[in-house]
Amino acid sequence: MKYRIFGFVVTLLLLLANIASAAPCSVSQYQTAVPESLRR
Amino acid sequence: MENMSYLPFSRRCAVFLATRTGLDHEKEIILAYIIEVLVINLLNICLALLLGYSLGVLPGTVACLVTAFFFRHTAGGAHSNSPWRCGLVTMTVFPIIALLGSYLSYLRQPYIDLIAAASVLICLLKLLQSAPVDSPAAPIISPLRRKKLKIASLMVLLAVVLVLAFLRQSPWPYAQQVQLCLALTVLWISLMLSSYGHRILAWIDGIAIKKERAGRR
Repeated sequence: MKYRIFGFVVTLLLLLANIASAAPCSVSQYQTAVPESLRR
Repeated sequence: MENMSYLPFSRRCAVFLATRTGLDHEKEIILAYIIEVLVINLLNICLALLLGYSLGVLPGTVACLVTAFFFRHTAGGAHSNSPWRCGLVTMTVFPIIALLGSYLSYLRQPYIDLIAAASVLICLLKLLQSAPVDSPAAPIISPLRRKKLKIASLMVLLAVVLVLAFLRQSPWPYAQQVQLCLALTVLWISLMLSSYGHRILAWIDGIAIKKERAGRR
């Protein structure tokens, strides 16, 4: 059960990472370094 | 393998989640990235809303944050080197813009229209000239993506113009205040797209570095 919850959280976070990396920056004035694999 | 240059809390959370689910190092880096993005942005937004609420300009602060969110996601802009200095800028700038909007809302409608029209025109010129402005931490590699982001940023400006026109006719008591908040946020976004915006944030970064060095001595 725990593994399923962690799996769901990780999948959701990876999906959000893909969405977030599509934007040149976020609402704040700081840009977190985008991982090489998500740069496009 | 690339180095993880993320804050300790995001690295720790990423390592924990990756260990529990058996992910590789590459996915662990992606997790650290998104955890940091979510935490920093949520913290900045909550603090800005809290400050806006305590100053009595919550609707204006919300309007500023929503406008900035859409523009920053499409047009990009200048960045600070530190998440903490960035937090200070983000949490203070938008409530201050909202406060300024609330003071200026006592102006007559033609003056508000003039401010809105000038802001939109300046932003249009900056978008056509510079958008999207990327950073070394998140470079835009594909020319097609660059073109799409430019078009998207122009669409956001068009949406802002439509909202401004709607608010002009609206009987909502906060309409004029929100109208000015949108116009002033558009001006702030234009500044962040320009070289002056980059210089301002570099100057803010410089102050903190000097203080840190002085503290170490």
